[in-house]
Amino acid sequence: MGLRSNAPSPSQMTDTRSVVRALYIYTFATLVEWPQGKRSGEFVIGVFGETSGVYTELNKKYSGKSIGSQKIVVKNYKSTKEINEAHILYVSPENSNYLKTIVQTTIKENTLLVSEAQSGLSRGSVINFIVEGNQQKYEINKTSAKKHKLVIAEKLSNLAANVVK
Amino acid sequence: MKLIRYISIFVVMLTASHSFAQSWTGQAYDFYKAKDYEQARVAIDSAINSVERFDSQTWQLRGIIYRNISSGDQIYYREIALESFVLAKKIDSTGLYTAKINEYLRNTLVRYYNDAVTLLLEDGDFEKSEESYDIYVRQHKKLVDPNHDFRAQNISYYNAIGAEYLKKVDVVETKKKNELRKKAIEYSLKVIALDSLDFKANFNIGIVYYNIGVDHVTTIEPETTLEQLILNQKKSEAAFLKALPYLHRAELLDTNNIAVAEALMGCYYGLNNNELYLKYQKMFDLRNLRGYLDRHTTHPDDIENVRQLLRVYTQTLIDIEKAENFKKILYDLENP
Repeated sequence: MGLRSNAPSPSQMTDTRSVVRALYIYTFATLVEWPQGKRSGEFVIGVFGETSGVYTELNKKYSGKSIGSQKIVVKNYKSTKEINEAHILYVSPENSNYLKTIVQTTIKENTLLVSEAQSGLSRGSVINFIVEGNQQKYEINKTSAKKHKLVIAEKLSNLAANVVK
Repeated sequence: MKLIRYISIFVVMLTASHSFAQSWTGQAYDFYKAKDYEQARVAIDSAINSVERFDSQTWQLRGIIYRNISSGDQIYYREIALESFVLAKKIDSTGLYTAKINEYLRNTLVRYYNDAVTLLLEDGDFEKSEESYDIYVRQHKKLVDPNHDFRAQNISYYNAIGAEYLKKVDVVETKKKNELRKKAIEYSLKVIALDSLDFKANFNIGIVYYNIGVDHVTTIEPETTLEQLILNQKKSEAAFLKALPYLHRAELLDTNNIAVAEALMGCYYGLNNNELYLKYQKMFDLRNLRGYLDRHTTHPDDIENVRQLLRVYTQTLIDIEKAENFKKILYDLENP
């Protein structure tokens, strides 16, 4: 009988980035104030263009939970035509080319537009994920937030890596 | 590292110059040959209370008999066996039996080692295992050879105990994981102190820190605060960074080890370092592509496998035509 000391395998690679993004998106929901018309009914978090990763994490962790009295519903949009009525819309990096097309819809719907793109803020996003050092952080465009009629909590601005006023 | 198989080839060779026929030692020997160790024990204990105690062979036989008693407190009897061999050696002023007695001592002491192995692998009693292993090493040095080099054996044992702690991590609740990981690191560091180029120890430490990094992120409560999320990201980053030197050393020691590449891939992914993440992801994909393609042939409706192939052809082994093909397949699977 041998004393086996087989080296353990690393756990199957966990998509840590998507976990962090989903958690950020949830905290955004708690630190942004929507106009009166969006404070009843379901709280819709939409993910555009990604059927795994962030959508999976959001769906797994938050479907059925609530923001205030609003029940969270997580939706996956596969085309720009499907996007409507979301409180938060996360646009995956591979779909960032559509940002300019989406902006007008999201302004009309008071949607918090979250991207992860080069120059995301200048392309109309309210919040854009960036990497600083080895960490995922975010930047905010307050002008865009105003256009979307969204009130950003001071804490969210204070902890941002960059704020465009 | 293996149990040391002790095959008892002991035959008490009572020398011709002595007549033990009517002696306690002789009786004990007869009982021993008949495998009646209890009676043998009574007789040999009488022998050491007689003049026979001045004969080295009497003490040798006593050691052998006590070592063979299989009922009661084994450790206690083993200690008596060792004491007897030590006295046998001491009495043997001419050194006639030294080699033989050392062999008896070695074969008795190895039982502590084998106990350590059994306690570790079968009983999962790590503390007692280490106690037993320490006795084995200490007594071997004291009684057999003070200069014996245990380095290789220590490396093997510490690696084994470290790996066992790691295995246990998977089956305990989150709160206890850190304690076990700490122990796994402790033992792997003991190995590294003996041999900084030991693959297993370096790899194991790397894996522990990698898993800690992952846990700092995945165990965050869903309804967390922004501050907590930022804090945990920092902790996660620190753990991934700690993993890197150990994993890179393991990589140098075994350049083709796919588990090391996978762990490095996970660390760089967690550290948001795309350049290095993709380097290791590519190595990983090169290794696994055949499997993904075979899987697609046998299970064309496996949507996760199609996603992997799309990712491979889009990100690492870039092939626009193939990527488009799998994109279409994925679309069809998602929209039946």
